[in-house]
Amino acid sequence: MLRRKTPRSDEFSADILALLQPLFATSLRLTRNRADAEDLVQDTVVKALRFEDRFTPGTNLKAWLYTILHNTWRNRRRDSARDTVEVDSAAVEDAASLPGGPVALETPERILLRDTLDADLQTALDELPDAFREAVWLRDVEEFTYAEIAAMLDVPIGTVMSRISRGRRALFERLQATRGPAEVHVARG
Amino acid sequence: MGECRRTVEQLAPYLDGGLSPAERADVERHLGDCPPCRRVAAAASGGRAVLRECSTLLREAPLPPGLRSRCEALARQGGAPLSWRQRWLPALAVAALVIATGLVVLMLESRRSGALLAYQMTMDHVKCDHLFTSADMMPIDARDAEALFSNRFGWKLAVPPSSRTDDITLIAARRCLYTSGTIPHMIYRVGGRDMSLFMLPGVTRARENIVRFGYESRIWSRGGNTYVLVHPLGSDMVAAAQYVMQRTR
Repeated sequence: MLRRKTPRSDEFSADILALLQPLFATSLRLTRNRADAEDLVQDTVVKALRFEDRFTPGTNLKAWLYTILHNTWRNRRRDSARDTVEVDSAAVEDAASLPGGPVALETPERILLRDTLDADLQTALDELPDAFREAVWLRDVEEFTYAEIAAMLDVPIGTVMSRISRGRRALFERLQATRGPAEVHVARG
Repeated sequence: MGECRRTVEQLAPYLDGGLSPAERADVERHLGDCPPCRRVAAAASGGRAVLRECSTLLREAPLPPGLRSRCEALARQGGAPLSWRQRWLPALAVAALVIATGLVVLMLESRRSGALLAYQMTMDHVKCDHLFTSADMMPIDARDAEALFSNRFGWKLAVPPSSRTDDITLIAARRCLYTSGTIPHMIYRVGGRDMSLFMLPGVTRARENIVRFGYESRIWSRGGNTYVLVHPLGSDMVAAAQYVMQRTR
């Protein structure tokens, strides 16, 4: 079987391998499954190495890799026909955006969990609709810019911003529902 | 409500400090006047704070054992494909046995019967498409495929190239088992579906179109060789089939 090969450079490979950890963490959060996350990272690495010539040196390699990662994941979901829940529909986004939800908290400027990271946060993240989870992860955990995220997810910046906002809100509400308001410490400052 | 929607849309850049002073003042004025939006903003702010507080830990998901070494091996190969041999060898063995048994039966008859040839090529298309292709195949260059066929197997043929305008992509060029020997086999992806082009060197036969099991087999001869193009039924495949047929020689 013939497949196209592209020139490789050790430096390029090393730069990619140095990003395996964040790639896996993001894959894990996208797929919610370790085996799928491993496959996704491997596929991403393979594609990145094959398409080295399409990467512009000096630009953001991590953002480029994440674009490949998200494209690969999107295609895989489409192919596996698991994408039956259309989280991107206007109806879902509108429903999530309407104010007046069951939030008791009034004006927190900063919120700290009593514990650091625990299963509740991971569960709450995993329960978010895919589109929201991707957006908040890329913004608040990986700290990409709106423009970078828009390019990765292939959606307009306005959509990115609204998904981030709605994802943050939904995450907080889920945490509150899980822990109860008394368990969320609120520090004003 | 229009102002509520505008405010909610601006919440992300507001919390991230990305608004101009004037925009920021607008958002804050509305939040001051609108308790429901204030609650939404509080929740969004809360979610943001939790994520950022825990971002370091979230990023530290331990790598599964072996993933790094597998990726390092891939890097050494320069992005060569994942080892499908390891994954598909058992299936391949079973398929080869089935095919070999079928070949014995079909060997003589298929030389005369277009229907049997169509049947055999359709089975080969389905088998190879299942075993050797995936959703994310990379395009390959027709000239590379021609060089492979010529240099490794001694087959001289023009491989129809991919066509971006017609959404036809050459994704595989391989040697395929056929009756008493092997033949060149090319796989094209057309709008997400695959079609196979086989060449039977040194054989000529009458032109025929035969439908078997939801696949159409187009058989024709040119330059002393016979070609068989197998594709799923559908109007979108017809133009692609014409494209490929015109480019064989």
